[in-house]
Amino acid sequence: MKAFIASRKGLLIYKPQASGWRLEKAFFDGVKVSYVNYDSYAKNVWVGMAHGHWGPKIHVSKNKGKTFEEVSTPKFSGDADGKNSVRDIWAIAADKLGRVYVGTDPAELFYSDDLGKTWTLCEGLHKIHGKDKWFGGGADGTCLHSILIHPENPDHILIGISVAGVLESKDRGRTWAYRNKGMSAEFLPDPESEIGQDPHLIERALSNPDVIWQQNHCGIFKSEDQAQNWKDLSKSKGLATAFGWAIVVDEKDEKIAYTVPALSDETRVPWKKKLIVQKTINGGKTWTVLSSGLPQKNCYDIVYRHAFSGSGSHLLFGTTTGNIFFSKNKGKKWQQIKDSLPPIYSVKLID
Amino acid sequence: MIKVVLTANLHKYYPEREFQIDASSILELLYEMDKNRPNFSSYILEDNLAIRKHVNIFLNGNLIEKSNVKTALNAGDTVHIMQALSGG
Repeated sequence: MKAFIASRKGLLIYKPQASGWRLEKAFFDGVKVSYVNYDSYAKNVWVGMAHGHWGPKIHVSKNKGKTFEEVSTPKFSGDADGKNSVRDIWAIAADKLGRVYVGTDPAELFYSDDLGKTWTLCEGLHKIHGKDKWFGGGADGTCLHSILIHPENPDHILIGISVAGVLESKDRGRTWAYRNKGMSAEFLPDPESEIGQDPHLIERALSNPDVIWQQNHCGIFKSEDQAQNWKDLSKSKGLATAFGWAIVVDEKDEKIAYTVPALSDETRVPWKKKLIVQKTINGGKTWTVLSSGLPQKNCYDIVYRHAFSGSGSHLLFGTTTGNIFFSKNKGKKWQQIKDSLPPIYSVKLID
Repeated sequence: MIKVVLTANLHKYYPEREFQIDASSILELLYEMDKNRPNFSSYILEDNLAIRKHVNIFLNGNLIEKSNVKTALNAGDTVHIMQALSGG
């Protein structure tokens, strides 16, 4: 097992040993590495970054982090109005046929069938109706942060965009439809609006691909029919707070999910200045607060949407104050394995 | 031929720091550099071909405006590609 840590100052790769977690490699010193993900089909590690001077870039490792190579960067072509330019990389995912998708800021979806040598803009999403109702979330502009490709049917794709909502394609990205039924946006004049919802992250339950979990700006939601309908779980018994960014779903049990919440959108500090994890084992009906081994006073650690990862019984998250916490028993007990790191944007546990 | 000088920080992403290249405009110069190092022009240009906000290009010591990447070059010109510093 390795932990890939995408931070404000580079990519760090840690490996557990008997004496503790050891830094195996560090890449891209000084560069804001925004995102890391693993393509379990092709066994490739993908990272997205945004240089301070030189713009967004994508690198891929075909040997689980021993080396990385730069691929081309998705970009708008023939757009002379000066508005559209890719600013950052927010999501990367691959399907079982070898197609790689990239979600960007501004919120667009690009795909590559040649491992990043060339990229094509998903025109159907680019031209979808209602874009005048999208606005910034997670950054000054819109961002496409979640890409869920159905494990058995690569034609079926769900994406999450802040602030637009969840969208579905049934034809491998050619056409798209909003799928926000049941969500509520308290920051809109019409909270039930079809367009303008703010999913912070959507995650698919691999044990049942119909089940999609969502940490939203306005609560925790779940769909049992591939995002056709969403149920609000925010009032469930045991939740300390429903605000946050990150959510992890157990790989083998669709009813088990975890969040690392924050108090509210107004303050964006930990709940009662305590770092906690919230866990449900019954599909979101009830939740338990987990805190053993986590700082419980004067804490300012916030966990961004991509900075929480699970693998088997292992869980790991990184925080904005440069701490990494690990649990080997599904959150029962936590151990701080690193501190004094740069702010952490994204993590991935890879076996 | 055009003399090109890169800031030290860019040398990490291009095999040479000072070199001669044949080009009739700054844009063509960057595309010629792509042949030696794929994707290099994306380090300098936005998608709409504007010079990136935090990059400065000087032609014979004079700063080129962000939108003027098609500025013509003449044999013997010198182009500096530098980081733009933004206070602090």
